[in-house]
Amino acid sequence: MPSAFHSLLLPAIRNPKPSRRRGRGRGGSKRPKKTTKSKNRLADAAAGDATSFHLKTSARAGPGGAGSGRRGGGGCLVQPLGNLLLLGGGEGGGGNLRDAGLGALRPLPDDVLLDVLGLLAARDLARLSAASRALYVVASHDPLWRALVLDELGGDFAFSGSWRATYIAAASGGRAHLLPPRGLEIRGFYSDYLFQSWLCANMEMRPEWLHRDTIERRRGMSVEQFVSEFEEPNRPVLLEGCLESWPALQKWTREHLLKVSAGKEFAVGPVSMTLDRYLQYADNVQEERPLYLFDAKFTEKVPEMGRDYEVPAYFREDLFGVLGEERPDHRWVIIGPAGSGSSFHVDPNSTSAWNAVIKGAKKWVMFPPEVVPPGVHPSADGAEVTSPVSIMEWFMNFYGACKTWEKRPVECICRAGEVVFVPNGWWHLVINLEESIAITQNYVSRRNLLNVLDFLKRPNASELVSGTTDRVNLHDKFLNAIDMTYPGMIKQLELEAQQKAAARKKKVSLWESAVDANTGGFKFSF
Amino acid sequence: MATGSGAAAAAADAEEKESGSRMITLTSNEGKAFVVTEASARQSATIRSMVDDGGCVDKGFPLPNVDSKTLARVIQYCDEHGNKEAHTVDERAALAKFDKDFIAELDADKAFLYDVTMAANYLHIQGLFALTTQCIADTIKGKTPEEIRTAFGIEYDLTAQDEEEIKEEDTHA
Repeated sequence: MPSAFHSLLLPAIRNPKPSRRRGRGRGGSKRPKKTTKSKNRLADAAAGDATSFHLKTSARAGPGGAGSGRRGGGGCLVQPLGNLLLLGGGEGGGGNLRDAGLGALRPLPDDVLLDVLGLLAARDLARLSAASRALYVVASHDPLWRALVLDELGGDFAFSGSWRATYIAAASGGRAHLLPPRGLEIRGFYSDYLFQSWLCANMEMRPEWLHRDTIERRRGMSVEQFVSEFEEPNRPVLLEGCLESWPALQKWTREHLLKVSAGKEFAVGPVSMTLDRYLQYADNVQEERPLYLFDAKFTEKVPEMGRDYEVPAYFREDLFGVLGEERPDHRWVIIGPAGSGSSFHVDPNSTSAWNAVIKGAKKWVMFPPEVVPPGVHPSADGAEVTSPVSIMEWFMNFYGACKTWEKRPVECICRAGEVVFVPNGWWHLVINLEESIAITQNYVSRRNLLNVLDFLKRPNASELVSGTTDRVNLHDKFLNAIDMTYPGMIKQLELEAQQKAAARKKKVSLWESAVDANTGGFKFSF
Repeated sequence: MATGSGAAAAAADAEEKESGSRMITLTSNEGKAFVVTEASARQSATIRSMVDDGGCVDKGFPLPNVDSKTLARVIQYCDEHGNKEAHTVDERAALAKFDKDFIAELDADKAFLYDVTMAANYLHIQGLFALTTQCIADTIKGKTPEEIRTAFGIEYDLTAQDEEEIKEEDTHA
């Protein structure tokens, strides 16, 4: 069977490398390429415009995910619809394989068809794949199999290059196949939806998404300076050289973490997994939204990990600490492969946060509270603040949109040994540029205490408050505990806030306040 | 509408009372106008967000992707779910019965079922979309590849070798 790499579609993989070395050596062998502007990105890819997309050197054979790229097996070569038009009727006059192969299901758009297939059990999906070539392509869509694996096996799976292969391997009793299950090579299926999904899983971050660096960087700043220049005005900053005392920076190699965490399971998306299983997955996965290890209880599970870092001096005040055991989740270890990350969101309970990179590198894009990022549609009550689009989709479709905005995002790449301060209410997107390990903590200091109390008091607190089991009573508990531990603090802060507001009112001109009203400026509860 | 807390339910009730008297016009791609209650129209997340964005309630909403026959059927669902209460056990049972009859009738006319599915998708009517996609999935469930081809009028285009390889995979899944 000819290699799937020979597809007309994929001119960018001219030098497929046999090995998958994620995040290393990338770019070294690549010639700089000029960029072209185009409205129709899918058509660019269709026309073989290699300048538009750099596929990862480890790119899968093709969308559909049936084959394992590593083994060079077959694959379904889904192509964007534009290709069919360019070819004037399709390869060999066959037209779109989709039409005849779906029969009566043909009118359903691909996303709806996949929603239907998402309701099927593995056995039905497998039978569907044997009904026609087109159904084979659709039923092999790897996210369908990801849902089945996570649903049926939880975190107890050995990732085998694709979710479909993982499911099949598990279903056959976990025995290793003499010959790995190989997908059929099917050409002539044209689908923008499946193609985009494949593209987002396999493309590199483009250089123009990475070079903009607008965050303020500071080294050796005093805590007082941090408070007055960044925390009080609620502005992001990147802190250099403040992790020098962390043993984690030297100690946290894969081998070390595997050893100290042996037998412990970490939270990974909807499931929990041991670190060795997760790393096996992370080393071999190529998908649009990789599972992310994000665990709030890591210091309880592996106390040694808790001893390998300390909270930087700037963030030591931790008022949620007055709640003791009842405090909301506040610290996480984050591990993920290149391409993993968090799409746009605002951090929980109106807290501020810091994020320290121990290994790897993260690209950050941040918007101030009053600027909703393009492509993000928060619900009116603020209960849902998640972005519907994947990170790659956001860069592909929306990053360019904010070029002309008056309030442009704050951006940076945060590398090992550096810390990003995320002020409360700021929207942020983070993507790992290589395999990364980080620690993040959310905290309340007296600078945002009133703010957090106000958030917890909202009428729909039961939907908004997160990280705790007792969502409704958190406000009262927190308020009482603060009053007990720090009598008079809240009154004092309210007084200071009033004075500041009054002072500012005098300064602010009528025009400025009008502008502020228009943008729906972030409200402190003065 | 199911709500998580008493406060949210109260807010939703207040909202419904306030908007209950408003009527909204939906126009099919054939230019036919359908006047529905706002509660009915709010079954569609698409229309709901347009209304909440201070939208053009007076002007009405043209729906260029939906024909009259499909829109009438979609509205039938929205009226039932938007205008009727679903608080008591009896009320919920009545709605479940409505859904069952509604989908049974659609299932008898597959082409129409797909039209309604696509309209539910376009208008983001979650309950209706769940109902119709489940119905299509149920048609696929438990069938052999041959039976699937017959049920959907699918052309047989796999080679003998393809079949052999798929069978090999199938025995594992």
